[in-house]
Formats: sequence, structure tokens, C-alpha cells
Amino acid sequence: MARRPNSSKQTDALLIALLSERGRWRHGYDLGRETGLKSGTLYPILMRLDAQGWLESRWEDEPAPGKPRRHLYRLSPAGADEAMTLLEQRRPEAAVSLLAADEGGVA
Amino acid sequence: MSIDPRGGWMQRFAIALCPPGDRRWLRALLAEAGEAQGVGARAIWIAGAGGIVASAIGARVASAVPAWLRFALVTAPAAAVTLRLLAYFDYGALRLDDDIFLAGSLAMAGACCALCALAARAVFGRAGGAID
Repeated sequence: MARRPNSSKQTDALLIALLSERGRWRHGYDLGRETGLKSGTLYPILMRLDAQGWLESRWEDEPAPGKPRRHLYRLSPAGADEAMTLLEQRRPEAAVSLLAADEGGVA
Repeated sequence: MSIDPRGGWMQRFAIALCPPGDRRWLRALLAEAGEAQGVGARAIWIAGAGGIVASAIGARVASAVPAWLRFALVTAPAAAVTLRLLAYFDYGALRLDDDIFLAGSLAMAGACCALCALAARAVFGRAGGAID
């Protein structure tokens, strides 16, 4: 039987990290540190989410002096909705705390 | 320590080997390697980048190189080595002169070079596949 897309624990961890600061642009190393994912796991997930239209990405405008520009990521509005729906099914406790944090941030 | 923003020749070569659509991801991975604190963390990050390059190249080769050529790329070197070993050990069961094995081995080595050139042309000769 084929696996459902975006149904791994690693994808869940990444989606939770991206949803926890929804509008903020994050770079890959930062996401890797937060989720504990290594680059070889993190980037294929980012690539897949990007191909599915769940992710927005852009290059950093002003890199730190002497450092290359970093690639930044955040969930697209449609991707955030899809991710939240997915988490509500798979990780309800995480979805509830994300929603609570969201409402707290809005209030 | 930060990675050279212009990228070394190895980075540029690795990026060029990737399909055009995957290059920005590899650039992003390499740019972020400079964020890793410590040699071990950086090495793990770069190893992940290496894995992504390997899978991207594998997919690129699989899509660009026809099955017969992939088969020949595996069998021709094996045949060249086998024939060279037969010549070296003066194998006599086939009642053939070892010079024939040697000549066959050289022919197979030449075929390997030609097959590699064909494969490289199939992979990099496509639009957007040139080394940038």
C-alpha cells in the first residue's frame, strides 16, 4: 500500500516548527537545529513541500558580512492550512497547542 | 569559519552535476554549512548535502541515460578487468593465446571510455545541463 504523502514523524516535526512561527522566514540550519533533523533528512522534505506548493522560499536580502546568502522558508497560506489539517489528524495535541499559541498571539 | 561565498571549485562542480531544478537547494545547503558550529556538525551537514547530490545525480543519470547504456557502463569495465586477469594469469582452458585476452581487455577499456563519453553527453548535453 502506498504511503500517504507528508506522513512521516520527521515531516510532522518540520511542520510543527514551521507552524509555530508561521509568518517568519526561517533558514534550513535553524529548522534543522529546532527539529533535530540532519540536512540529508531535512532538505528532501523541504524540497517535497516546496514542490507541493506548501512552502514559500526566497534568498536572504542582506547576508551577514563575509557569509553567503541563505535560503529562507515559510509555509504558504495554503500549506499552513493543509499542515494544520494534517496535524489535527495525526498529532492532535500539537495542533491544539499551535492553535492556542496562535490565538494567544492574535489576542 | 564560513564557507567561501563564491564557492570553491568542488562546490561549483557538485552544483553543476545536479539537475538545474535542484541546484538552488544545494546552494542553500552549502550556504548554511557555515552556520554549523564545530567541525563535526559541519561535516554531518556537508555529508547530508553529499547524499542529496548523489541522489540528484542518480535520478538525473537514470532519466537521461538509456537502459542499454547503463547496462553497458556496468558490464564493459567488468569485462575489461576479467579479460585482463585472464591474460595476466595465462588462462589456458579456452586454448586461446593470452594476447587475445589482452587485446580484448584493451578493446573493452576503449569501449568504457566511449560509453562514458556517450553517458556524459546524454546527461550534460541536455538544455540547461551545462556546467555554469
